[in-house]
Amino acid sequence: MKKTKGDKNCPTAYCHHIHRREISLSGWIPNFGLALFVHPLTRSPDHPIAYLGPQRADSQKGELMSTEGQVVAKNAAPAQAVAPICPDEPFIHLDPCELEIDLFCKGMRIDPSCALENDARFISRTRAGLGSGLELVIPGAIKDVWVNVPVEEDFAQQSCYELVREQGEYWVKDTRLGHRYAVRIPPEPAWYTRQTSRGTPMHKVGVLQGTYLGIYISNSCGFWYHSPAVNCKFCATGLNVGVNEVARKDIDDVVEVVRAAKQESGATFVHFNSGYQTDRDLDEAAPYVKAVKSRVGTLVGLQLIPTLDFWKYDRLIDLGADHFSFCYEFHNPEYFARFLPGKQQLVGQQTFLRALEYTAKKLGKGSCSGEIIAGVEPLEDTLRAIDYITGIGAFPTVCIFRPTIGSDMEQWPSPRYEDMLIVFRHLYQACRRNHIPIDVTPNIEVSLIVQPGDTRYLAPHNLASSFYHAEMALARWLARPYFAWKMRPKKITASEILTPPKDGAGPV
Amino acid sequence: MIQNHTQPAVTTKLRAEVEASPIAGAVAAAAEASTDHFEMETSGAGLEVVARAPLPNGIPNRARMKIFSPKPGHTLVFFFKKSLVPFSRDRYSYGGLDLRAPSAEPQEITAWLDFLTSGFHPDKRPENLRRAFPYEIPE
Repeated sequence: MKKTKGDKNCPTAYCHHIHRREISLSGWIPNFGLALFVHPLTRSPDHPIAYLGPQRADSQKGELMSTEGQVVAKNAAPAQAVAPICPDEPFIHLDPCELEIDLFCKGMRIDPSCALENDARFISRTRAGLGSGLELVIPGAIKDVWVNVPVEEDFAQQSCYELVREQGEYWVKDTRLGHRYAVRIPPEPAWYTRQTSRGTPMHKVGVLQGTYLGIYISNSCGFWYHSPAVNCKFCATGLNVGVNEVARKDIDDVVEVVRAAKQESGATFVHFNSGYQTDRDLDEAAPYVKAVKSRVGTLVGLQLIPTLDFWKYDRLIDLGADHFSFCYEFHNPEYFARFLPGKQQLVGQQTFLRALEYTAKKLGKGSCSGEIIAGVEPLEDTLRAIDYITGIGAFPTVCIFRPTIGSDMEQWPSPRYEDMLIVFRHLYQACRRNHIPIDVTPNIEVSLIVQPGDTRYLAPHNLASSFYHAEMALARWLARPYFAWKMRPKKITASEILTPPKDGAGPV
Repeated sequence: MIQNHTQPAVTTKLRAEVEASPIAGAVAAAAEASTDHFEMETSGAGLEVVARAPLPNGIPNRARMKIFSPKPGHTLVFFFKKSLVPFSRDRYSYGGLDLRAPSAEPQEITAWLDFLTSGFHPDKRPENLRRAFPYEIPE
């Protein structure tokens, strides 16, 4: 396993943002929107952890993705062979991004020395299930990396990583050679244990996933209520909403929770998502967007089932939406159809792609994201997805597949670290080639994914990387007043009831 | 078989739950007659059955089932796992059944126990399992 050193001199911090023109060092006027992301899935045979304990979950389940001798995209990135697993090779100290990737792949055990009941945020499986892990922060020279480490899934019980507490400090210990990494455990916000004025526990309205606030706005995903169910195979939403979360979020509750998260936790971004709502998804989100933008003032992102009624996106932008993300999960249409039956039958992959293209063009470079899952479809498809997403000016939100507890794919193995390293090195290069802004928006750290900004640790030491990092540092500095303005409450005159344009324009 | 059935607390708990729900009594009898290993929880609401035999891959089986009657003639069956994190009281639902009949067919109960024994393998889901089951699992 080779070690890639990070660029210790890079001054920039994470991504997510955006402006509506190409960034260059000469003559650009930033026009920032906002951007963000999330989600889950994968496969692979045994990690090096296999020989440390009992066998991992059924390694025969991931039959679609070969892990041997794969090559990367033919028409975008240079081809690279996947490195073979060398269990006898000594393991090297990993940089924060490499450790983040490995923790996503292998999970972590918790030693009895830990006092998480006092020190950590409580753990709850909400939304699609990805946030069921333990939040921790890996300090680093370029940036601190937030990661939601799988701890509940069975594969995590066989991990070589163990969280230990010594003299009041937390460490992630790699039991293979005894390496250990200093980490921080983010404390539970005080508002988690409070109730809204309507008496709703605040943590049942929204939760911090990293530094941003995630809220599942409406009743459970319609895919779960079809007969037979057509839910996405990696997802646990239908098992959570109404059990671990309030099924339908009251707008006043949401406003109170967003205000608390902004004032007490410094949250700058609230991310609304929902499952399938019979093409009413954007309509149902609109009142929440207006309420938060007008009464609290944070950046707002939406992750909804897409529509070809593009005018609805225009209305949401009028209401203040800063970002849209589109979870199309798999670039390979065969995988899309197989693992996302509801999205295949009732929405279609092309709807996701066309909506992403429309909003990315409308809001500008880096403001929208395409979300995919790495570790299930062949590696070359994942790399092709990254090239497509960055090529249209969006940023890639790549989730490392997590065989989430309770999901249809719970028995699948989690991905191989070596494969994921290829994905995220490629992601960095794709963002750089396409000048996608990374780590520009203030204080948005997403713990559920490897953020594009995290991949700066994987950057090669060359002039192109240095130039890109300098661009981003400048963009971040120039964008400060813009984001300060964006995060003030605004008077919004547009109606939260979405109505079509008067010219009667239908789907584009 | 119910491994801890001789414990006085289990006997007391079983008696109370069987009085509350005939279905709980049928489940307890089926678990006792089974060749698979189960235990009964003695605390909390309802009858909670825990699978005890490890899974084929060597991992401990975390599957649990709770039979709870909010009122006579109405029984809820919850399938879930408990959190592995020491401080967490989180439960992970695998769905449930909402039964309005006073009893259940023996083959249905066998299917529930098989689901439990499999560690909630997707191929072993009971026929009428509602995966999106929006009830709080009673503690």
